[in-house]
Amino acid sequence: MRHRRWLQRVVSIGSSSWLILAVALMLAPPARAGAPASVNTLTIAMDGWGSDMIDPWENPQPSFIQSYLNLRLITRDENMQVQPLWAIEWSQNEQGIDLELHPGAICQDGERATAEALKVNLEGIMGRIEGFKGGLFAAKMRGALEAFEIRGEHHLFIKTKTPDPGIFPVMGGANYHLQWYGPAEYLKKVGHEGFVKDPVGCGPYKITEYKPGDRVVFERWEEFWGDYPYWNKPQHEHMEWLKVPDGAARFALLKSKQVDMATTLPYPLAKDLPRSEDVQRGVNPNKGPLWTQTLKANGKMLVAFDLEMALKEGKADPAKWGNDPTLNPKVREALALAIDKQAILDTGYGFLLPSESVYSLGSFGWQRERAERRAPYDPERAKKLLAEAGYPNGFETTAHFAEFAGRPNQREAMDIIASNWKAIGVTVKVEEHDPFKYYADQDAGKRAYLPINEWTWGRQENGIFMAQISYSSSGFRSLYNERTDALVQELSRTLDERKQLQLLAGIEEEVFRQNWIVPLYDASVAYGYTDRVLQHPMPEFGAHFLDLNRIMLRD
Amino acid sequence: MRRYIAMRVVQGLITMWLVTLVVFGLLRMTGDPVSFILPPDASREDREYIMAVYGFNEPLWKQYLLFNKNILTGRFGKSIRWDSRESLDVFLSRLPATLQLTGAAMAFSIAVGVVLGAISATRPDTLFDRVGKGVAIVGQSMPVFWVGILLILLFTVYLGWLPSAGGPDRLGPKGLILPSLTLGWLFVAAHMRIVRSSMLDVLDSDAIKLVRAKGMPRRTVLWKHALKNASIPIFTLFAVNFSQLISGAVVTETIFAWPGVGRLLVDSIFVRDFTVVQTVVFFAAAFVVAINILVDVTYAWLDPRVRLTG
Repeated sequence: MRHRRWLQRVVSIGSSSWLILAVALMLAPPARAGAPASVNTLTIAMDGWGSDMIDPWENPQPSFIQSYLNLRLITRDENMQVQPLWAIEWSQNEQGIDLELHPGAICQDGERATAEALKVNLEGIMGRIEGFKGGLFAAKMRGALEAFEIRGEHHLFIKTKTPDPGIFPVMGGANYHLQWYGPAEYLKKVGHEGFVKDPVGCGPYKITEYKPGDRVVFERWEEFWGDYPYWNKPQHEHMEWLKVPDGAARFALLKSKQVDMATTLPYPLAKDLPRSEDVQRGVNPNKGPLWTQTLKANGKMLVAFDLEMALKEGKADPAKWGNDPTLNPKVREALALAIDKQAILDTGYGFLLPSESVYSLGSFGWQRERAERRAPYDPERAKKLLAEAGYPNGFETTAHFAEFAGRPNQREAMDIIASNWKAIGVTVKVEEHDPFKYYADQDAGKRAYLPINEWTWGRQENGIFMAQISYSSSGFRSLYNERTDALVQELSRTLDERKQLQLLAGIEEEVFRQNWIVPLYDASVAYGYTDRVLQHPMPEFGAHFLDLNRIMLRD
Repeated sequence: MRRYIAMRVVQGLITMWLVTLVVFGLLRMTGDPVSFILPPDASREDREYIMAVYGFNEPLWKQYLLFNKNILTGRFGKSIRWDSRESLDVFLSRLPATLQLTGAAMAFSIAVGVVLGAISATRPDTLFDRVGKGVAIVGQSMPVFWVGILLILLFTVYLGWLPSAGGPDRLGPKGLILPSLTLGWLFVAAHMRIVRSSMLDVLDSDAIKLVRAKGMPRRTVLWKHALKNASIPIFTLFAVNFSQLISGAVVTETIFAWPGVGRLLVDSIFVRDFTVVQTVVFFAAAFVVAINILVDVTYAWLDPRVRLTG
């Protein structure tokens, strides 16, 4: 009896204590919302950072290390608006491109980043400086830029050979496949090998440790001159990147808090984590120890029918291909109608996005009202169209694809398409290829993959570039006729933005009218963060790996 | 004996030359590396420009001559992917991490394999022996990547005891534990089986019967006499397995983001960085050949009959 009373007393004291504690916790002020002015290290597990080449005059591939070491002319903010970086004013006219540079821009060795420095950089990128092979767009720059005129210490005029509106987006750095600029005098002095051994930049970070393919450690440059809200001295003193190729391993690092952020989480792992965009994009929703942000438009997938062009160019044997069903627009329309795109989207746990557009999601030229129309799925109508086209019992054909890194779910998409087409009587043999050979052959205009192939594009922020390479006879992966050719040629001479948009819309309408392509989806990337990360503002559709300098940490 | 050694060395050199020739040919058959240097959206003009700049438009025989010249001068050529650094420097920068990993994995697999194998041999067909054989089969059946991910799940994610990615410079000795367990586990089974089988043969021998008859303690009989006599085939296997570990801890290095030679090889193959692949394969082949020559010479020294039969 005494024990029972004692036990009752203990329980009641315990219950009261818990109740008091619960009330105290509820009433306690929230954890400090403001971030400290400076924290020590931000650690990120990445699947990759593009190329390991950090020399801006010798990087044939994008290397995102350069976005933090070197300079770009312009950028996009989290509202997708183009903003100044090194260039504070810019314009283009019939004669060329006029640039006014930030008067305070200097490099980490004290060298001033002037108009002369930009000029030398462009020459280096074009491969015109001895000892350097040239940058990613060396050939394009050589074909487009005619001369340089220094009009002031920070004022450069670049004479262009044609008023091509596609040039500045390539040079500027606000789009994908960026171009970077470094300390011109230092690069010339030490050469490529010297720069690689001891890199010096003009951006917000210095590199203190670099093991290509493995690890990069950045240190905040305390004298960084950038004074923009989106590009200034970062909060963290050090930033460490680890290359962790395996998605599950990256997630394990994040979950165990060995890193603060992990890029490209596998969809099945990311799907159950709180998404920032459900509350406020790029801001920790405070719903658990981990959260994600979705970076949309990482890659675009579509089905293309280019047999017509292959025959026109003499790259397909007419005896074999001259009567192929896909040459008939009604057949192409039928095949498009028969694809259940929702089923394809469902394979991506919500990370694959519909986009009925030939242009990348959110890019210049992409029209939201057009892109967000849902394409009809009508297998019955598809069968009728096939019958009208002379194929009441369907036919057999071959489709080709290649799974490129960063372009997810292509195999799943092709399997669903094969199954959908089978239901309307079209038996398709799906062939998978080595991605590098596949795209190289496409880009070399070989037309090797007939009659149906899958195109994928990395993100492109500018539809002009897409139109020039995809829908004109001079493009390298092209579906075109006289009309699209004429529109692209006019586009390549037009600097009026409104007119550019009209022309881009016209090209898109013609492509769809001809049923040359069937857009499937735009894929997104899920970035994961621990709750130590308070925010990471970056553009919804922007180039990935950017704006890491804007990450704010709790401690 | 000298003649035997010379013969083995010449055979080794011929093997090395054939390996490099085959690798050179196979790599070139995969296509041009420009596709990997440039992004897939690069234009035709960019492609042609890069081909010329990197010399990939040279005839194949010229490229092969240059390749051989590079080997003979010890330079091996510049990498394409790794910022145009000398491929030998790239390889040497990754080698220490691989040596640490494979050394630790080997030590673990030898320690566990020898102990389990020796004890199993003294208790044939008992529960311990059967369990040991079962462990051996399971160990050899489980894929390395699966073991690695399970260990990460348990020790990193759930328990939070051990780090799971990054190299020795970053993590120190603690970072070596999970990857070396993952890699070493594969060979525990093989080592256990060879030790058990060698020990069973030796334990039945007259020499051991004599030692037992002299009244030596069981522990001394097992660890001092029997294991010593059983060690020749055991150490042969250790040496061969070590050379395999060195050249191919690829999966483990990928799972644990270990900056070793295996991962370098895979990354370089993916991007067709011919010079780095050739360099890694050259040294891996050289290591395997050297180990095999050493084992053969040791055998020949121990057993003259081997020398005579070649």
